[in-house]
Amino acid sequence: MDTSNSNTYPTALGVEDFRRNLTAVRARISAACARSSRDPAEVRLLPVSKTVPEERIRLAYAAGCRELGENKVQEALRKAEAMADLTDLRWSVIGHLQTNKTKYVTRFASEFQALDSLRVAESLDRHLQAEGRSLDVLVQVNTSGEASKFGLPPEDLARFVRELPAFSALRVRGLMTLALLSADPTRVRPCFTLLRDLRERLRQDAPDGIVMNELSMGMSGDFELAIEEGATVVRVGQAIFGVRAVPDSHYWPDPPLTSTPKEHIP
Amino acid sequence: MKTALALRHIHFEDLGTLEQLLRERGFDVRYLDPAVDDLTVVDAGSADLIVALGGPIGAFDEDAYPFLAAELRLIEQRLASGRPLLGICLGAQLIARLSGAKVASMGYKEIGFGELTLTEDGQNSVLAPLAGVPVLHWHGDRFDLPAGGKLLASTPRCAQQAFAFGDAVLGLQFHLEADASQIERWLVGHCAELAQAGVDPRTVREDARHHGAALAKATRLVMEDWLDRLQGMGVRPE
Repeated sequence: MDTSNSNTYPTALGVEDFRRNLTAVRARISAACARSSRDPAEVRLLPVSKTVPEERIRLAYAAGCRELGENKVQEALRKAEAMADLTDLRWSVIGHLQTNKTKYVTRFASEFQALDSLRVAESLDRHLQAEGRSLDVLVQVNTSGEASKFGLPPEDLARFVRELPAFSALRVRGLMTLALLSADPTRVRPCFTLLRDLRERLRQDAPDGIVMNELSMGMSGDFELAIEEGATVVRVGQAIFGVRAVPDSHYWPDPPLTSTPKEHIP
Repeated sequence: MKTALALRHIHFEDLGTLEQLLRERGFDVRYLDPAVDDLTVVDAGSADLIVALGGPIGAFDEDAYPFLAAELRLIEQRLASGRPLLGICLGAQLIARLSGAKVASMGYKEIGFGELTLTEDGQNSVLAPLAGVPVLHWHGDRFDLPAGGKLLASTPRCAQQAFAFGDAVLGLQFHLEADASQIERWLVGHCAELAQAGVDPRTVREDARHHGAALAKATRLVMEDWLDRLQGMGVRPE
C-alpha cells in the first residue's frame, strides 16, 4: 500500500510541474487499471483544488486540468467567479452541503457529489428549476460506519434513492464515499467493495430515470485500491497540487522525515 | 509530517473525535500528560498544533498541583509564538488566565448536553456548524473574555463559552471533542462530581446516544474549516 505523505509531493510551481504530476497520476491510474483488467478511460481523474490559490489553479488549467473538485461551496464559488474567464473549466462540489448554501451550488457547479439528505435535494431542485438547469449528483454513503463521517448509512440508501425521481433537476449518476483512514488495505478495501455492492443492488431496482454508473471513491492515498474495486471517479489533490509554495524550512527548521501512516488527503 | 501535541490531564478526557480528524489531515498525534511528563523540555513552538485538554482541577490550582506551573509556562510560550493552539475546558481556562482574564467558580456546575448560542462573531467563525447542535458541557468554573479575544458562543448558564484570538488560538469551555461512544468513561470517572451536582448519569448517557452523531459531524466541519484556515498561515497542508 502506499505511504503517501507531504514529503512525497513537492509543490507544483510551474506548468511543467503540473504536467509532470498529472502524467504521474494518470500512469498510476493506468497501472491500477491494468492490475484489475479495466480500461483507464473508465476512470475519471478529478483534481481537488481545495485551499489552492487562484494563481496555481490557473497553472493547473494551463497544464490541461478542465475540471476541479472543491470541498467548501463558498470557497468554490469565489474561485469560480474569479476564473469565469476559463469558460470550459467545470467545478464539482465534493463536500458536505448545508441546506442554506444550496443556492450557491446552483450558480456555478456542474456536479455535486455529497448528496445525503432529502432537504438538500429538495432545496437544490428548487433553485435549479428556477434557473432552468440541471445538476449531476452523486449520493454520499458512509461506508466506514464512523459517526463523524457524512453520508447515508448503507441500509438507508435504497429508500433514499427511491425518493430522488421527484427532484427532476437532479441527474443522479451514482455513489460517493470516503473510506476509513488506515494504513492497512484490508481495512480500507471493504469500504470500496461495499460501495460497489450497493451500486449493483441499486441497479437492480433503480427507479426510472436514475442510472447508477458512477463510483466516486479513492483519494491521493488510496485511489489505486479504489480503482481495483471499481472506482469510476478518483478525487486527487496533493499528488497533483503538491504542498504549498512556501518552503517547509520557513516554518519547520527541522522537519522530521519519519515514515508516516497513510493520510486522508484528497 | 505535521505534529499535533495534546496535553491530557485525565485519561478519558482525550482528543475524542478530534484524534481521527487530525490523523485524516496528516497529523502525527502525540499525547503528553502534564501531571507526570516533563513539560519543561518541550519546545513550545515546534508542534504544528497544541491542544490543551480538560480536567477536573482548577486553572489557579498550582499550589495544590505544582505541575500546572510548567504547563502554564508551555502554554504561555505557545501563545507568544502565535502558532495554532486549541484549549478545551481547563485548557481554555489556562489560556484565558494567561491572557489576564479572571477564571472563577460559577457557584454551580454546568454538566450535560446543551446547545450553544453563537454570537455574530461566532456565526462567522469556524464554530458556525455547531449552531443548533447540542455539545457536552462539564465545568464548574468560568472565564471572563480575555482582552483582545472575540466572544464566539454562550449558553444560558455560562456567557463565555468560546473565544478566539485571531485565527490561530481557540478557547472552548465546552467539549466538542467528546466521543459519545466513550461517554461511559466520563460517567465513571466523574461519578462523584455527578452525584454532588445532582446530575443523573442516565440523562447524560441517553443524550450522548441521541446527540453524539450530530456532534461528531459538526465537529468534523469545525475542525476541517479551522485547519483549512490555519493552512493559509503556516500549518503545513495535508
